Amino acid sequence: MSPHSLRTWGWIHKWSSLICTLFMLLLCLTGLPLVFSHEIDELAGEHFAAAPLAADARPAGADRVVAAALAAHPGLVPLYLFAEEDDPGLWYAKLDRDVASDERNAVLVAVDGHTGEILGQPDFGSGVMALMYRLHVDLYAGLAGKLFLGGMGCLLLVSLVSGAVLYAPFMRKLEFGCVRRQRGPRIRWLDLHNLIGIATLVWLLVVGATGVVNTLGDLILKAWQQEQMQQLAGGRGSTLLAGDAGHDGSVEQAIARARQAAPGMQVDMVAWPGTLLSTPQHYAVILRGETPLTAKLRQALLVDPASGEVLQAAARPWYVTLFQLSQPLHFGDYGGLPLKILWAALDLLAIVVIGSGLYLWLARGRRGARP
Amino acid sequence: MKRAWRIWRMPLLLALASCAGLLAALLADGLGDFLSWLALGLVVAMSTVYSLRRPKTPDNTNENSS
Repeated sequence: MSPHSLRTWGWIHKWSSLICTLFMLLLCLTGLPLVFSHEIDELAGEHFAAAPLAADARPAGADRVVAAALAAHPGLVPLYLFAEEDDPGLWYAKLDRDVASDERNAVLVAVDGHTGEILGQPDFGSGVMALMYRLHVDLYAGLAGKLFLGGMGCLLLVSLVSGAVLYAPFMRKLEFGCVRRQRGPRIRWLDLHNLIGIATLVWLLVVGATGVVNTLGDLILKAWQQEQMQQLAGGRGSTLLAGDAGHDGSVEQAIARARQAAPGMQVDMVAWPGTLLSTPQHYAVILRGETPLTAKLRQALLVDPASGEVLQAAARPWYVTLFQLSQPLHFGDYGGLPLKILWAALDLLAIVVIGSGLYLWLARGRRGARP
Repeated sequence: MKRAWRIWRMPLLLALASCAGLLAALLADGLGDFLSWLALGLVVAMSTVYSLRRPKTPDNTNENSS
């Protein structure tokens, strides 16, 4: 590499890293407990579980789940019904004054789908974990905060690529993993920065890039909804199951029709007509597959409450697939507890890379700056 | 060319292990999970071991400062 391009890449690496450093440290620190949020919730007792289903009993079903939630909160209407992936007997119903609300005052109720009994109201809005979550996701600044962190994530990607480019010239005379311990702290930390940075490069790139995609999640979902509405309005949706008579418009029937139209899929959530995720005339039933990969790729079907007709508005566009795959690859929640522990270890290594990079800049100009 | 191979073979190995580890658990449960623990475990272990390792001989430079 010519001295000129070495200088240019060095400049790119320095500034892209410096600008995002403090935010990346914040994201690494807040991300660490978030990796284990499921386990922490369980330990803290903020975890709901359905009662085991007796051998000869039938589960209460979605209609009774919703009825129980509404009975406990008179005057509200249902917006969404969420299934819990890890506990098929557990449902969460989201209620509000009307379907077109901004959901600021919405109520979330956990209901046992086996017995039809109310389990309680999860509290997602307060506590240390909520603080970690908001600092990690939007800095308490809503969409603007998300997009800001997305921009910082882009700078991280630039700094990772430029750092990888600089790796070779720095390692010209060194063996892999060589840490020169006797030449002062600056050389030692430079070697550690290069070693850990290059070893964790792919993980950092993947978690960084998927994090950037996740910051665009709201915009991606809104774009998809708009696309679906246009397809339907233009009559371009495809009918998976023709409508017929004898439907009562219940949510349970909508779920049954959707599953009939897409065998082998599990219900992930249901959106009532008129909500953000459906259309004014249809229930939206979001289904997921049963393998680890297809479970992350949701399929949305629209069900006409009156006729039971099942429509698919449009095949899932590439950007929605990208967003849905970006979630597990960012959270590390798809391979059991050992994967989460490895995720945490890699997160700690990332903190060492970022911290040593910051130190190298603060201690710049001392002897032995160049190899 | 030879030098590029010497510099990049270990980073390349760790990059491939990372890719395999990230994908395996996504594509299959059970064995896939296990493979991903193994592959990402290798990345974590190599980073840690090399970082903490005491060199057998003092650096490959002959300098003896500090």
